[in-house]
Amino acid sequence: MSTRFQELMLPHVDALFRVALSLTGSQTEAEDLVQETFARALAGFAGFELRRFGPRPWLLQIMYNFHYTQSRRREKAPTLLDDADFDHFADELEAGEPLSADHVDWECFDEELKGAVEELGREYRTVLLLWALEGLSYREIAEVCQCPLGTVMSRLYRARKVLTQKLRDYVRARNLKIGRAD
Amino acid sequence: MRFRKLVGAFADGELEVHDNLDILEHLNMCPGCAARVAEVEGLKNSLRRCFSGVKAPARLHARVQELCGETVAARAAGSRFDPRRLARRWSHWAVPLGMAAALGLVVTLRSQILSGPPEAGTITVVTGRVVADVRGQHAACVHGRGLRHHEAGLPRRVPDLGRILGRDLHLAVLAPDLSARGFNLVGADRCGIRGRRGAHVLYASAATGTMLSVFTVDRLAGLGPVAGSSKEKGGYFISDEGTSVVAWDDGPQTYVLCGDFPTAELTSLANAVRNTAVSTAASAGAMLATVVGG
Repeated sequence: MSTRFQELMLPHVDALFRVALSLTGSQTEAEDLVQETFARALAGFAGFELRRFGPRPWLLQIMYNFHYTQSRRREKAPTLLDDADFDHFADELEAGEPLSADHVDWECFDEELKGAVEELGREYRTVLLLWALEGLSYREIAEVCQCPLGTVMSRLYRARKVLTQKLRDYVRARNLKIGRAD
Repeated sequence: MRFRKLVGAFADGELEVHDNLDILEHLNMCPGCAARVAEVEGLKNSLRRCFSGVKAPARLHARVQELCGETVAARAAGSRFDPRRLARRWSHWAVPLGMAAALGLVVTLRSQILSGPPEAGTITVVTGRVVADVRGQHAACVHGRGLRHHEAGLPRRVPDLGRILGRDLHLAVLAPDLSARGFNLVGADRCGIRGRRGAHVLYASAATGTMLSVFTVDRLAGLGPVAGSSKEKGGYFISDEGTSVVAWDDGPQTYVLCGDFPTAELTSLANAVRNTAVSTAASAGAMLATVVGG
């Protein structure tokens, strides 16, 4: 059991740590959270089904559940944001000028982007990072965060909207040129 | 409006095949939506660049590894050991561990994980749904970004490509040099299949321009043996029509080849690719299935 557990799960320590850091905001708490997650994963490994779940989404779900259980106990319940279901949110999708990768050097936004991500609400930031860094599908994010698929989509799209709007403001403030892709 | 709702899901690889084809057709006519797809991709790449360098400290890797070892030892001794108690005890310690020892532990773990032998003699049939997903992802990348399919910041040389993607994705990424087989490298990106993390290396035939996809993904769900299937022939699944797909498991990853090529050519390429040294010693993973294009 140990070899199989190590083979499947240990490659994901870094990924879990990244998400734990976004959840807790503290390196020490993130390390404790990751360690507790693996302890729980070990205890529950007999029930893990590889074909149903990838190892990383399973670990992230354990971590997410434990973190929010602890948060509620400490009366630091996360702020529940107004999550419109996706069909209603889709009506808000804007028709503004997109930032075109063909005309903008994205690397000049890195510092702005980091700051903007840190300003996002925790639920938005978590979904965004699970999508971008960990490459999880909508369904996997929904299972990790224990929320409906529509909620994942609306949080992700809103987070992306906030970030791209901030970057557009940055572009305008510095009078950078953007244009439509061909 | 319908396409505006679909653009984000398309960029995330979340659409069904028929919606994929609809939006690909739309993107050819709508530069605004095409720019939004590029915007989503640019944002994802930037987020990765900004945050993927965050790594767990060595002491955490060591503590987790030690937790696994303690649990196994205790259970072997017959005790009803709860690893959670050990984890809580450690939380209050500042455990100083030598960086060299911790680094050696991580290196050892990686080589063990990456070079573990695959299950011998496993023949698994790729289910119809997975085939559709593979074809859908291949089509989305080929027709969507085509010759621009390359993540900014990744090297353009094959050995470096596999090594860097493998390091970041914790997979043994297949990125072979196919120039001797008449294929030029187009580029690579972190496109999994249906949201599963993975690497997608794209090649183009020098003779015809036809694109070949080589995917490395963590284990695809939905794979399973179909004993006695009427479409099984000598361990291969034969489909009547469609873009050819060949896939096999090797350790914790699945390799998938996909392209509009005759069966014999794709199978020959698969055999050549499987013999290519990857980021670990080449392993003799059993071929999973060949799906033959019509």
